[in-house]
Amino acid sequence: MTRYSFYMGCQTPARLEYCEISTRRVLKTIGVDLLDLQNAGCCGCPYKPINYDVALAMAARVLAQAEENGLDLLVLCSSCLGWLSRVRDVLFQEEKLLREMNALLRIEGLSLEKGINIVGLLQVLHSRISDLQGRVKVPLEGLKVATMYGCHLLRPSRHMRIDNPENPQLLDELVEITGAKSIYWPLKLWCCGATTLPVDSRFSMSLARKKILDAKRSGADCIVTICPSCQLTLDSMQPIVSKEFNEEYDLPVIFYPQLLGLAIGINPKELGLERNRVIPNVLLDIAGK
Amino acid sequence: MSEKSERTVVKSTELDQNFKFEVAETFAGRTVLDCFQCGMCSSNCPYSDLLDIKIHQVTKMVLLGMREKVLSCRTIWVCATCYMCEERCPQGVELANVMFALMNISAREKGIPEGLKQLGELLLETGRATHLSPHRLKIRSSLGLPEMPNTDAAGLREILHKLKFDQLIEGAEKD
Repeated sequence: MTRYSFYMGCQTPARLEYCEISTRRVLKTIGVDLLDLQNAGCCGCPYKPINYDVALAMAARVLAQAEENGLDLLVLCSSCLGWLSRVRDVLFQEEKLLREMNALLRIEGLSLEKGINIVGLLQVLHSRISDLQGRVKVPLEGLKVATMYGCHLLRPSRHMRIDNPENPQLLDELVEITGAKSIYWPLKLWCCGATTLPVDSRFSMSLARKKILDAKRSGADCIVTICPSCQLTLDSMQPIVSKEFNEEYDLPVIFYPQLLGLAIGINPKELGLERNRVIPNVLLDIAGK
Repeated sequence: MSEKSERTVVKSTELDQNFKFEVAETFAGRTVLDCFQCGMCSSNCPYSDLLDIKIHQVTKMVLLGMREKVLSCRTIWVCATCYMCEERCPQGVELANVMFALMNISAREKGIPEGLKQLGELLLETGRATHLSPHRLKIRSSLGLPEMPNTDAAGLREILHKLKFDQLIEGAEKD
């Protein structure tokens, strides 16, 4: 049994229970145990535009809480993952900044000493890819998938070091072990627009629209993401984008653990598949559920 | 050149020669002086076509000292921070971070866009960037999800107060 500190971020529990339930269910099945980080709050990422120092302090706080737990930190959201990884690197390169942050953390009796190992769900799953492949009971043959990583999981690569930033493959490989096919789509690396949502919703939606249209044009039956923020803009927001631009999309957007869970024989209900905004009928049909 | 093309004349008397140093002194903006104007950022930005002023133009305007124009332009606020520019910049300029440095100055002097201001208020109130309504918590338990981790924000509020975040949010003019 492997054990991680688990940090969900803010979006997932407030809007995307299906990301959480499918993640917990799949990880339990493959023997990964999660210890929820207590009192963590926000990682600071959405507050960089208002005040960068505040965002740094909030990330330092999450890192210090994880350090207290003494386990590697598993981060669900790509934005939280990107920001926490970057701040960890920066703080241990810049002594002055680390001292300033520790002075703030002392208010809550916390401190950052040695830095921790941070992993994303993508790495945890990919490190067990042959085990996962052996568990596939319901091959999703014929399903064409456009994969989406979440910008902050890939870039900037000098802080992320998870996958090739120009040609990422880990999620594509994980999709293919389920029997589905990962297709080429030109805008794969482009942003979903999540971060601009609080500033300019029309702008943000025009980004989401480009992605959805491109995936459809490339022949995808669905988009599969490994990032809750991408789920939010592409799935939860899809009916609103559709209304804004007066276009029909009807493109299911699936969180990877849902796809994997279905392929390894977990009941769709336990994966929250009826909770996606665009009901993934194509997936359920192929799985024969 | 067609007669219709508009040309912006920049008056040297209206430039703030110190602006680039002001940005470079911030932690987020510390790489701005390294920009040599190759245009890689703008040509790789997935959303260049939607920006009134392109990313490399923003950095050039910073270097020239066009303080007022930069701090009131839309580009800095709608940058989606996808880090495509930062990944590919041959000079190692942290472009998204430079945008944050500019947003931070603009937030102090010109106010914060309404949606972000609300996010700031939510943080001061709950310690989180989203609201966990009783409805959501009910869904959690109906799905058999574990109880939400403790989200008491008192300690965090003290840190935010020390960084004057409360003053910044409460004092911000609405956009």
